[in-house]
Amino acid sequence: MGELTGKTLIVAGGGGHVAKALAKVFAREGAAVAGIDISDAALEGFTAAVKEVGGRSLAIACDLRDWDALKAAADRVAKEFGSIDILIYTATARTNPVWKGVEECTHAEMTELMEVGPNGNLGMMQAVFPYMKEKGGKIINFGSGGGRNATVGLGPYGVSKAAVHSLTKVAAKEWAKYKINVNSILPNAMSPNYARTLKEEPEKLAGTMPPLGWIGDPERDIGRVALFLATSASDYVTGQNLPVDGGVDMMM
Amino acid sequence: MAELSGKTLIITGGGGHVAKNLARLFAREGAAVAGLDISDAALEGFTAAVKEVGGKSLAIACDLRDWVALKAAVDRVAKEFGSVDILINAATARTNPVFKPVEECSHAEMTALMEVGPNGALGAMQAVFPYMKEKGGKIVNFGSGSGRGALPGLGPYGISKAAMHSLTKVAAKEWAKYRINVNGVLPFAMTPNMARTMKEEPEKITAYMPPLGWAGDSERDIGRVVLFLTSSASDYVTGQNLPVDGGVDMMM
Repeated sequence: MGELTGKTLIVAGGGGHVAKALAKVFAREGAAVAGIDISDAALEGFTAAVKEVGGRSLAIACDLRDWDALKAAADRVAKEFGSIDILIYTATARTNPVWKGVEECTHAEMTELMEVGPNGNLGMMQAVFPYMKEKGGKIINFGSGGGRNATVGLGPYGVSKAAVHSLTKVAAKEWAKYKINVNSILPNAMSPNYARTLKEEPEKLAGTMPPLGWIGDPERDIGRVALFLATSASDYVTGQNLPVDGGVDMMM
Repeated sequence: MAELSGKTLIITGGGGHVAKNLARLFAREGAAVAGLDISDAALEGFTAAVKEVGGKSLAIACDLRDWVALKAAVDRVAKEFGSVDILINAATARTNPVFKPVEECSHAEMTALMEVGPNGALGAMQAVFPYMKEKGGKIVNFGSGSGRGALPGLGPYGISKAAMHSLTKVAAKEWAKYRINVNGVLPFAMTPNMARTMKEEPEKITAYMPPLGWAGDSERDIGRVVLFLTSSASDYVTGQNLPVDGGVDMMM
């Protein structure tokens, strides 16, 4: 019997690389996993990942910028799975201007970052709140070292992630009385893009290797920390923005 | 098979309330547990706690202010247990001036706080370093919210804990290349003293009650987080000072 047997989970931004890995980790522990993302196509990999480990999944195409749609999605998950115990919000704008100076970021890009990032996160949290209010719950947001340390060139993204960190803390405080733990993970995770750059242009990443010496594996390194934050072992931890980054946070 | 079968663990300040509960939890997970404290008498409860769950223990009376004695104690643990995989620095000065304003703390009190606190922790870390350098290891230091938040009346203790937080970060950075993870736990744990006050003068405690609504249980709430930080699930987390405090940290 897995650690999360009988538990239900929503992963927002379910089609993303890390989200798929998380879905696999959580499904393996017995949780029923719902993925929410912009389109059915975006969620194909998510459904396949959960299927791979024999888990139960539900894919809901939904615009994360639309709070009514978020509420409808959460209601549907609750109806099909019987409850909502855990929310993981991993979504980021697809237009994420990863390497742009602050003077170059357009209004549209910034709005997109905020709407899909912290604002969608808040909308999703409000949507699951009625289901967690009586029996407690676990919410895990995805922040970023860029939101703590003002990484040059990563400003707009960092600004949106700083807002996620603040949301994490204030919701943790306000919802502590409902036994809803709200924490976030600030990951440094290997992605297909990252792997490609590492192979083709390693000089671009020179000096960015974490002190521990490797790039985090979404399942093994990030997923198991998310699992910790979603289980009773972390019942007494709330309002924390936890770097899971091989020590990068200390360098900044 | 338990999570820590075959692993060996040293707890400094082993006779303390939280330390005893940690020892029991770790022994239950299969670790061989060595406790270091000022006297044989101080370690009686430690040995009893490990025995309670059928674990393997070793009690070593040792003045934590004496780095030569620390080294001898650690060498003895390595000899008897065959290795040193985990170090938990839980010791605090017995003269801990918990409620003294900065103008009242004596030089002797401050020296004891530093010598038994961060300095003893550094001495113990240096003593285990040779055993962790080749194969990696996990170190968990006990910090305090008062070392982050400047609590009036708790200044001297907080100052010593701030030093501990800094030690955690710098050692994590320097020893990352050896795969030695160094993290801190900032607990809010129920102690016999607090339980007594809560019973006899509850009005004194009410104002300090964490947002989550209860004082942490040493084994269930604090112990399981320490367990996470000493198991492979946290291999990618280092240099972090993590409040495990029911949300107190957010209030400061």
